[in-house]
Amino acid sequence: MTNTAKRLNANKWHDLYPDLGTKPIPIEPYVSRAHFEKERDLLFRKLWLNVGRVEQVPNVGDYFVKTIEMCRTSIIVVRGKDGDLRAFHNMCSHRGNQLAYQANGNTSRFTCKFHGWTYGLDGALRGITDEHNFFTLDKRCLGMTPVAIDIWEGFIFINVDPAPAQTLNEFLGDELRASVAGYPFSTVSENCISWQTELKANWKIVKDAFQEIYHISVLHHKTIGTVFASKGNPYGNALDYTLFPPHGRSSLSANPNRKPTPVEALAQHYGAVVLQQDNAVTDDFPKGVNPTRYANWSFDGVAIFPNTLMYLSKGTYLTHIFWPLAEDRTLWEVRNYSPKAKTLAARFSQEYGKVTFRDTLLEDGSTLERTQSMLGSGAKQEFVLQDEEIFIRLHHKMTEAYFEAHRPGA
Amino acid sequence: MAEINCFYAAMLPRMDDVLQFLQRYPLEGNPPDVQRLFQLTLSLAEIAPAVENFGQPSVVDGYDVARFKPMEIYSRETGG
Repeated sequence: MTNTAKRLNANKWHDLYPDLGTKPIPIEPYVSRAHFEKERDLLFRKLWLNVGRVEQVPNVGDYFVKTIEMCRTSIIVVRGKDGDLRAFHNMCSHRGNQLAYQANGNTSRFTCKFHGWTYGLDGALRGITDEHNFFTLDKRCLGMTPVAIDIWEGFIFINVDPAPAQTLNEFLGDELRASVAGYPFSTVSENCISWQTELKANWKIVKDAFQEIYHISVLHHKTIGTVFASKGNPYGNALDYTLFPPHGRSSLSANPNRKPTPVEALAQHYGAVVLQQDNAVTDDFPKGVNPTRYANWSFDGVAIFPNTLMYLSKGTYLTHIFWPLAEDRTLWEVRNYSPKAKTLAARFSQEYGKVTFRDTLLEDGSTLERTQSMLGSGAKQEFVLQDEEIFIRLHHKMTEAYFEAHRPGA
Repeated sequence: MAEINCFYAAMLPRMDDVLQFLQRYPLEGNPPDVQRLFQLTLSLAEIAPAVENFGQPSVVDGYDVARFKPMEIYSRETGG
């Protein structure tokens, strides 16, 4: 199940994945408009993208709108009268106006504010203002344009390709799905807060910062550095990396000897969920989470290609979604999920966890625009990666593979 | 920062008692004084890293917190 035993006989994680190679990776994909347009056409317009959770739309008529600039569209996700979730381009069939202006809500129909065309929750065109003044119209062909939608573990994925090459299950793959199966998403997802920011950086600069742990003991030495790094593991190296191309999973240890600050100690005592020390897992915990069953485990990172990262720990989980806006601009969307606290003291504890998490992200954020601002200089042409940066290499390799698959004549 | 330090110094010695007290209350339907005390603990959670980690109100060399916009996506809480 894990690569940890195999790695005992190898020098590095990369030895287990020789196809990835070990050479530096080019900077060009981080600055090139042409590369960005290929990412748009061959990744974001072809692959399944995570846009939210089922808890956002629990009731019939509940909807939310997701603008995906990379797909040049806005998408309505709505729960129909039959209880099913559907997704549509947020566009009137008459002259193209957006149907939903609000980010979310509950409705029995979508009515265009331009000329009053009306659609049901199933996307069917129900009413046309002054209908007899049109020429030959077939209302059955004039519904909202559907977008492929599917759900995995409560996460809503859409695919704007009119005929996706794979189902969501095929795209995620048996190994990744089996790895996470059994994680208590429904109970841990009772509350969801988000932070969002628009950055002047390529989306991969942002993503790369969150899919390697090499930086933690340095960049985060004032905050969470010693949560992971310990005397026996001074650089906080991972317990395990398992790749399920194009996706992957990492598993990280915790430092059992971290001395908490006074308020952190209080938060831990009342059940803080981000920095708690008692992360030991019981037998009923899913086998694929903390796959090495390490006693001082902290969290697993799950990288879902192309733009989602999940950090799963005990009692809370986090997601990052990186939405490209331009080759040098990104909407970075972070979500923190937690169960409803049973007492006010436990709620204090959760608050401390959220604040610590946010401050850690602000430390991460400091490097992103600074890095991007240098890439255009041309001073360097390559990034040099070490073993623990294997997910960054995986991303580049997978992008190359998707590009190659769509090369004319391929 | 002086105000933050002052608040931290006033709260910390009382926090054991405060949290033992708040451990008896659920999230909703509490009297105003309990709610106020709870909100003071949230304030302590917010400023603790400034005192314990940074020695300044904001993250050292951090990304601008004003650009990092918080948003509640959904919640089962009504009392927080």
